[in-house]
Amino acid sequence: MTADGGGPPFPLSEADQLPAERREFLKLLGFAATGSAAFVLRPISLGAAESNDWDLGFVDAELGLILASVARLLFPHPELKDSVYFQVVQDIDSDMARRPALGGLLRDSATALAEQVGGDWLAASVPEQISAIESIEGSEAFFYLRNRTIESLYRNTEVWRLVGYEGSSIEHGGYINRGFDDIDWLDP
Amino acid sequence: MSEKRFSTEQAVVVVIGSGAGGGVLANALAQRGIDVVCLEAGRRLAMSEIINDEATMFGKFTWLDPRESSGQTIPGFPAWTCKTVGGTTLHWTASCPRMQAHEFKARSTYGPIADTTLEDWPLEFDDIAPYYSAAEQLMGVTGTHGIERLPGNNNYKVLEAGARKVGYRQIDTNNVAINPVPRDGRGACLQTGFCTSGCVVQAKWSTLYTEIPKAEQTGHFELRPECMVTRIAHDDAGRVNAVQYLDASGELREQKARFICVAGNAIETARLLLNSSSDRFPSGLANSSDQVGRNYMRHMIAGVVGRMPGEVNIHRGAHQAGIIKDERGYDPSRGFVGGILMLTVPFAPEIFAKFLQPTGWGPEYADLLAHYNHLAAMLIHGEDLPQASNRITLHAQTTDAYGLPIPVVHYEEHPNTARLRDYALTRGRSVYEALGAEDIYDMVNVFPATHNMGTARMGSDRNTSVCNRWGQTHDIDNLFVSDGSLFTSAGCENPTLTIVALALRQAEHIADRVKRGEL
Repeated sequence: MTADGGGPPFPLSEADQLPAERREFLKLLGFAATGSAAFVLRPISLGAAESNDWDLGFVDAELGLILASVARLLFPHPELKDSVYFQVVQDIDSDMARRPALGGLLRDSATALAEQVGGDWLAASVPEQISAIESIEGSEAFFYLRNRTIESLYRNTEVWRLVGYEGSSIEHGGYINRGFDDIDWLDP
Repeated sequence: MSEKRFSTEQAVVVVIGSGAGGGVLANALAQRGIDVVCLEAGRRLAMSEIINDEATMFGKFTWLDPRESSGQTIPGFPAWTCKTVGGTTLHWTASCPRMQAHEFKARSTYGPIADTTLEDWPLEFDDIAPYYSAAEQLMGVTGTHGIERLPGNNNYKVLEAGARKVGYRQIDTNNVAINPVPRDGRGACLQTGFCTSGCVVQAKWSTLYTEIPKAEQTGHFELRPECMVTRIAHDDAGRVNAVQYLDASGELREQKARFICVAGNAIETARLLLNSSSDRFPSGLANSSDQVGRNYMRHMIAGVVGRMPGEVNIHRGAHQAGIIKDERGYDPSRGFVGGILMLTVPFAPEIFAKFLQPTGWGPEYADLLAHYNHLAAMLIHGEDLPQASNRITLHAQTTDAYGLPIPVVHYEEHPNTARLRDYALTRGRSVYEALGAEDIYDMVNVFPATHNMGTARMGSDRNTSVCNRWGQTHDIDNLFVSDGSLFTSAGCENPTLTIVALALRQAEHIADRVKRGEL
């Protein structure tokens, strides 16, 4: 089982992964030229980190910022506050309490990422950071970070609201009177 | 709750498992005045523990004991079965299509196919038809016996509209064991959208709140939850006479038995028979044919997801209350044998994030996930063929917390299945293409098996099967199998209705033989 977050309905594990697809980074950079991508790919802000209530036992502040930045780069939702991505770091910290080897894996990975961008991850440009992450696709650390970010992010009710997933419905009487069949764009 | 009724020295009927097979069989026997002890490995959830949260419920009822994956199975999690009172009837979608008549004659219909062990069932559709009818009445299946169908939800309306555009005609909200109106003490479907996490309004049939409490009211039944059977014992004559199990406190106990029915889901049933080897039966119980654990089938299961031009809100409503049946027949002109069903299915954002693109990340992927409410999805089921090499075996070294060798689940896809899948995905995609989907995604090789079949199959030839047409093992007169392990071939339909029908049929057969003093 992978189940770092308490058990995903369909666990993900390393050996099952399809070969990583090469990404079209030129296209991505072209997208950046339109102006909106600077916002989409907004780097994690140090200010937000300082105001965040850290409660970390294993992740130090520097690693925490890198991991939060990677989480946003993996699943960038411009509408989300940095605090949602810091929650991912909080969850990683909880995993470390149970998995002693995880700390070393992630610290090595953060070092490797920083080296890819010339030493200072947070000072690097977003395209540089994306290229660096691409270079670790397929690694154990990448699979862990992708899976953990998904399990943290897409179980977060703030993210649910953003994407339109309404969560528990029984307390509202289900959807029988609340739009289970309200689709309006199909041809009659 | 079940109070203790029977001593371990009393030779009762022991039913192992409390799901679709075991729960139904146990109640059917108890209703006929036969004393039954039902041993269930999992816990009995209170209704207050069933909540609308997928990740939480996954942790509460899933069989999480270690299993080894081999071949083309999901690493670390080859199958999603349940360890809870009610078994997989907690988690199932309640989809209840009947198998088709020709599927019971798969070998005669399809002809010889290389690298398969395809056989006809030792019974025909007409033999099981009355029990299908009884099972549908028992569970309250929509579209049968005057029970109205569920109304179509948004995901169904998309499926139906696209299906009509591509020329399909057999489209409806499926036959589901979900109450459209209150029935049998259970509530009506509120379209909560959490079928597979347990239905707190009990609109969806589950043995947890139907067969089990009904059996308890007879005075002939005792449920023992959190009791993991470790071994079935036999006497000098080779008849089974007791079941050894670890109770909730971990204490080893032995229950005397007059006969034993195994219904632990295809993986655990085979594992228990293999783990019960003895000097007399060195390769495991009922395994003189060497077929226990072999011929493991699980259906071809794949998802197709469309990013639609408008909102769908896929999470609102009953999961598999939508079906296209046009492709379910036998039509070798498609390039393969076996049928295909296309059913609606919803997923939560987490599952789409993990598997729409199994390695996906970055701005475009996040944008796709941000359009969660525009996604429509179907799950495709296709028949897979039995192969001797697809099998459950015991791990040579690794044991679980009970001290039992863990099961190794090996499955390789037959070339026929690969052709069926490619065709099915093309047809499935066309449904969403017809409605102007902006993008379409396949979800292939990401689902653990939920339809587990064939590992103690029925047959008329005792050299190529484990059980006869009643689910009685060829080798041991008073040992029965009562779950999906019995399936001779897989059909393309969700297996639960057929499991329940077989259990009702078996109960009648056993009760007749008890009455005649034969058991």
